[in-house]
Amino acid sequence: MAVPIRTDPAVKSPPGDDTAETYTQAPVNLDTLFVYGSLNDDHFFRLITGTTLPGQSACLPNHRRVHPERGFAFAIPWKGDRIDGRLLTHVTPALLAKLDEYESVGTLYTREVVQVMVEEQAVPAYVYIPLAEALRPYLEKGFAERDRIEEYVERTVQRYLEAKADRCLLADGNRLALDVTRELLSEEIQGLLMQYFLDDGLPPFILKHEIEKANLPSLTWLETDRKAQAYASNYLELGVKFMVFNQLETRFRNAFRGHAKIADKMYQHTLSALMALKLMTDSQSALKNAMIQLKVNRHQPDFKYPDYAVAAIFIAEELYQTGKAQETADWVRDNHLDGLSPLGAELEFSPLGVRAVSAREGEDPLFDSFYYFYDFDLMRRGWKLGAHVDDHGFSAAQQQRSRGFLELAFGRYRLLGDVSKPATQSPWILAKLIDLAVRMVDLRPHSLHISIEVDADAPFKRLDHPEFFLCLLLLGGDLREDPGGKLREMRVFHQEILHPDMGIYLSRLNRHHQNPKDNSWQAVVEYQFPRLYYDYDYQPLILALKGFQKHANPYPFKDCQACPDQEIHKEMEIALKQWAAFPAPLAEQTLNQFLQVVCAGLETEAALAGARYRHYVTDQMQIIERQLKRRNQRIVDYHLRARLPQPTL
Amino acid sequence: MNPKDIIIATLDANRQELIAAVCCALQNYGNSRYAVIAFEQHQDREEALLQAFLTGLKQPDHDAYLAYVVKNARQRSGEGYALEEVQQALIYFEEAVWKTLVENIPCNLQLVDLLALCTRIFTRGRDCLAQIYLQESIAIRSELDDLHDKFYKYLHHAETTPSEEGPVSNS
Repeated sequence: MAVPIRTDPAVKSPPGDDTAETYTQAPVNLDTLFVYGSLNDDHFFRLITGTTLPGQSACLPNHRRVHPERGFAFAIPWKGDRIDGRLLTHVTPALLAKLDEYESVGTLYTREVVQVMVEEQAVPAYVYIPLAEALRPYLEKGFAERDRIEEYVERTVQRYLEAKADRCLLADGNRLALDVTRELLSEEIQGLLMQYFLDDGLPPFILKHEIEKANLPSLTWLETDRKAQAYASNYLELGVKFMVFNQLETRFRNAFRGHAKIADKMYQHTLSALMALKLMTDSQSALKNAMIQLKVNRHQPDFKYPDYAVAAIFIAEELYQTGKAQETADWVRDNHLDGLSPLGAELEFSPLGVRAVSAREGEDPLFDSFYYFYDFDLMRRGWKLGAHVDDHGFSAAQQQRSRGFLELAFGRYRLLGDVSKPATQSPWILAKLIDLAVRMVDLRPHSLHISIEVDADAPFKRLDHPEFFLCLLLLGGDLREDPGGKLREMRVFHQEILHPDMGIYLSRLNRHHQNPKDNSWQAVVEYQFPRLYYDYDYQPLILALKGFQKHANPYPFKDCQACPDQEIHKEMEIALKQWAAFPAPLAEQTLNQFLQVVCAGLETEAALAGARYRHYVTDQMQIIERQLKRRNQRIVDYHLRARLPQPTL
Repeated sequence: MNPKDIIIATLDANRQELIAAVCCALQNYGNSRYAVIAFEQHQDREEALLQAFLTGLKQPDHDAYLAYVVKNARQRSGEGYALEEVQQALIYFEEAVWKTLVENIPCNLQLVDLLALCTRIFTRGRDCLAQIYLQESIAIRSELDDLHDKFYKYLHHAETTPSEEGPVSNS
C-alpha cells in the first residue's frame, strides 16, 4: 500500500542538462528519505538506527547507482539515467542525526534534497550523495556495507574508550592512551561488535556500560607473588608478541579490507591474521631485537602493564611498512584458493611435550605449564588466535589456573561451548596459518588437530581397509628414532593421543556452534593425531585428510555414538599401538589404494571448485604420494641399517 | 689417491648413514627448533650441506661450503634461531663426518691429515656463521635506534605524569 507523501514547492523539479543544479540550495525540512544502497536494506537500516521505516518504490532520475565489486553502492549524478530505490517516510530529525553520523555528513557524504518519482509523481526527499574524493580510500580498501557499519559502531565505542582512557591509563589523554585502551580491551570491543550484529544493534548505553565495566589488566598482583615472578619474563614476552600481532592484524584489516574479506560463515580475522603473522615472522629477528632494546622481553618491576602495550604499539608501527604490507596482502590474495570444505585447526605447545597436562609445579621451567596464563591476561591478549590453556579437563573454560598446553584455536572466539567459525576453506591459508603461528609463538610445538566440516547428508561408512589409518599415521604422525636408536611413531607410542578410558583419539566427531544463541550446530570431524612441527608445510596432509574423509567418509574413532564399528576400532587401536612401537613398511598396494581414495575424494571436490583448484589438487596429490612413499622408504632403510628383518604390512 | 678424493669417496659411500645420523641427532637436540622439525626436512637440508661440503672440499677456498653456511646463517638468523642452536647443528654434522672417516679409513697418519683438513674447513665455516650473526644483529639494532628513543621518551613522560591504573582483572 502506498504511503501518503507530501510534496514541497520549495524543491526544484528534476534537473535538465546541468547536473550541478541537481540539488536544491533552499533550506527544507523533510521527513522523506530516498534510499538505494545499504540504507535500502532493512537489516542494515535497523543496525544503524535501531528501527525500520515504511517506504515504497521510487526512483531518482538523472543519477546512476555505482556498486563496485568489493565495495558499497553509491549514487552519482548522471544525466538520463535513474536509480531505483525506496522512499522512506516518517523520518524524524533524531533519525536523520543518526544517519548523518553514519554517513559522516560533511566529510564523506552530503545530504541533499532531490525530487524522486513515485508513481509518476515528483516528491521531494533527502538523499545521501558521496563526496567522490573522500570515498576513494574506502573503495580502494574494499570497504563493503558491513565494514561501514562496523566502522560506525567502532566510532561509537571509541567515544566511551576515550573516556576510559582519560581516566585509567597513561594520564596524558593523547592518542597513545586511546590506542593502549583499545588494545587492552580489543576482545571486549570485538564481543560488542559481534553482539551488535547478532542483536540487530545495541543501544548506546549498553555499549557504554560494557566498556565501563571491562577490566584493564594490571601487574600489581605480581609484586607479592614470588612464584609467578620466576616466570613473569616469559609470560610478558609472549604477551607483547600477541599485542604486536593484534596491532598488525588491525592495521591489515583496516588497510586491506578487500583482500582480508572472507565469507561470512568463516572467521572474519583469518586473512588479516595471516597477513600479520607473515609480516611478523618475516621480521622475526627485528622483532626479537626490538623487544630486547625496549626491555619488554623480560619482567621490569618498574613497568606497568600498559607500558608493555605501548612498547607493542611502537614495535608494530616500526614493523608495518606500507610497501612490505602491500606485498604481504598481495601474497595472500594471489595464493588464496578455496576448496569446498570449511577447515579449522588447533595447535598445542608446551616445553614439556606430552607431560604438560600432568606436570608438577615448577616442572616446566619456562611457564610452569601456563599456570599463570590468565593472571597475565594472555587469553585476552591472544584472543584473535583463540589462545587458551588446554588442560584436557575443561577447567580452562572457567579461566581458572591449571597446568596444560598453550593452545591456539583458529576461529574459536568463545571457549565455553565451542563457539567457533571455521578458519577457512583454503588448505593453503590453513597451512600457512599453522606454519606462521608456530614460528610466531616460538615455543615447542606439540600437536595439531585438523577439523573438517562434514556434510550432514552424507552418512559415515564402515572403512573396508582399516590399514588406511596407518597410512594417515605415516603421513601425519611423528616417525622418529628415540634416543636409544629405535624407530617409533611417537604420537601413539608415547600415548599422546591415548585416553586411559576411551582409547586412541585418532579422530573424533565434534559439534561447532557459530554463535552463542544458535541451537543448530555443524558436524566436524577432528583429526587429532598429527604432530605439530616447526617449519612444515601442512598442505599435503590437510588435502589427504579432506580427500580421505570425503571419499571414504569413515566413522570417526571417538564421540560418534551411532558408530557400529566400535569393536573394530578397538581392534584397530591394538594394531596401531603395535605398529607405532615397531613400525613396519606398508605394502605398496596399500599405499596405492589409499592414494586412490584420497584422489577420488579430492577430485569430487575439485570438480565443483574450478579449474585453478583442480590444478592445485593435482600438484598436491603428487606431493602426497611422494611424502607417503618417502616415509615408507624410511622404515625400509631403518630396517636395513639396523639389520632387522623386513616385515611388511 | 689424493686426500680430498679419499674423503669424498668415503663420505659418498656412506652418505645415507651419515645423513640419517645427523638427522636423528638434530631430532633429539633438546628444546631447540631442530628437535621439532620433520625428519624429511632435515634430510633435505643435510643432503644439501653435505653436497656443499664435498664441492667445497675440491675448491682452494672452499667457497661452496662457506657460501652455504653464509646463506644458512642469514636464513636462520632471520627466523630467530639462536647462534648456539645453529652452531650445534653444524657440530652434529662435523661429528658425523669425523665418525664416518674414522670408522672407514685405517687409523694412520693419512687419517690425521684428512681430519685436520676437514677441521680447517669446519673452523672457517663456524667463523663465517658467527660473523653473519654479528653483522645481522648490528644492522637490525642500528635500524631500531629511533624506536628505543621513542619508547624511553614515553617512559620518561609517564614517570613525570603518573597515571591511575585500571581495576585489577586478575584473580
